[in-house]
Amino acid sequence: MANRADKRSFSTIRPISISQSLLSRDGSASFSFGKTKVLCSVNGPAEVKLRDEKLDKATIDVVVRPLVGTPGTKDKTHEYILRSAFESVIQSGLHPRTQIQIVSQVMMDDGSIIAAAINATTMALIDAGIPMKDIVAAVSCVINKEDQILLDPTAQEMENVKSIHTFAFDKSSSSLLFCESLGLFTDDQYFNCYELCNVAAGRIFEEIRGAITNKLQEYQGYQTEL
Amino acid sequence: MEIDLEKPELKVVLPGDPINVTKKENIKLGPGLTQTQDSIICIKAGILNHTSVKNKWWVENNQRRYIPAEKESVIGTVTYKGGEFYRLDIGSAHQAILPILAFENANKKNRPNLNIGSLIYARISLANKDMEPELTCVNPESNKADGYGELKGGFVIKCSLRYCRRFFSGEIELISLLELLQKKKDFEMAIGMNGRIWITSTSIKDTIFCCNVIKGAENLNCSDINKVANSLGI
Repeated sequence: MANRADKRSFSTIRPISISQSLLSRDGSASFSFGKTKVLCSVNGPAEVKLRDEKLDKATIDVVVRPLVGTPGTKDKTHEYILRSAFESVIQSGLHPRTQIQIVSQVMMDDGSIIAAAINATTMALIDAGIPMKDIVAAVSCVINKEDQILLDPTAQEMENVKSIHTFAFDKSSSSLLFCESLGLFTDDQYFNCYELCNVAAGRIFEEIRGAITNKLQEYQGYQTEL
Repeated sequence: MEIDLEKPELKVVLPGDPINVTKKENIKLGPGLTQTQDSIICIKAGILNHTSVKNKWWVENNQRRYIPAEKESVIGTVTYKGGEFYRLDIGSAHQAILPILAFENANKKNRPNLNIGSLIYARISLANKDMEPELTCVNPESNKADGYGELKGGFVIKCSLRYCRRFFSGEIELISLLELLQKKKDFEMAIGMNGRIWITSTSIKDTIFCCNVIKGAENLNCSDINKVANSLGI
């Protein structure tokens, strides 16, 4: 099996790095897959504009900002994806007549940007203490011209491929929360991609747990030392 | 409050984690936990705490947004003055309501005189997710002000909610820091559970000094707090 440009095997994801509480908002986090990096901030539950107010639940407002320029059609699609993935896990009924604002800023786009944005949003929501019944992790993969499945593709690997797939899973049941596939592919290929991404999502959950544990230990250190 | 010391290691939980409770009868679930059909799941990331007194379980985290809860003391600023009530900003999603009659000895004729921008130390008398939080400046146990009311002069520092909770839980290091600070400067402070601490002293210089000490101790561990406290207690 030939290796990829960055010496990874086909079924490994790039190194993950997570940092939290970077901004002076209620919650913020940055998530990166190798060079791809997304910074996400969450504000809320906060006061909501009267016209957006929902009587029985919180209004979830998502803004995706590209690296340069103003948001375009692609960013609006990403906003829709993020909103649909997180509306099912955020317990918005616990904070009626409020707004939870999620702002996702692309810092560097080197492929798998939707997956990175979903993971960054999960971390920022956790940091803000927004009640959620589960957490979400997403991974992308591509099927190239040689019918090989490449997990977590870079921008270069995403060019000239047969199809691109992005899957988002929840933690407790590892069931599918969101999926987007572009291109031509067969049933078998689709389910192979699904399996591969499901395993990779498990690794991301481990990383998330590690990051949260580290941060909490840091805080607890103020109290338990001595 | 006694925390179960059988498991001294940290129990970090993430949203969606199922919680295994040992005793299933009469469980009291605190912040961060919820019940779904027949199991208890966590909805916030943090450290799982448990006390066998009344079989209480809760998750301790360090969020910045204040969620009002009944019986908590908070510091708010007046943003609106009406005929029947004041509106206060306490840092939560909705502004809180402070009825004009919720003061000691207040009646229709003898009403408190607060202006927009005044600082108030009050107690949350009603907290419900569907309604605006309601405040009172009277302690229901004694029907007296008991320190609640307008905070005149001084300075407010903003800090994490967790830091404020640590003062209320009576952490020995923080208490001893305050005791030593008191020996050096005369000061008065009010801690709001909404992440605001009000401090006043005899002069502006002393107020700034006290604010800096208390703000500076937020991100120190116990041994460093002791060091700071010792350097103060000359």
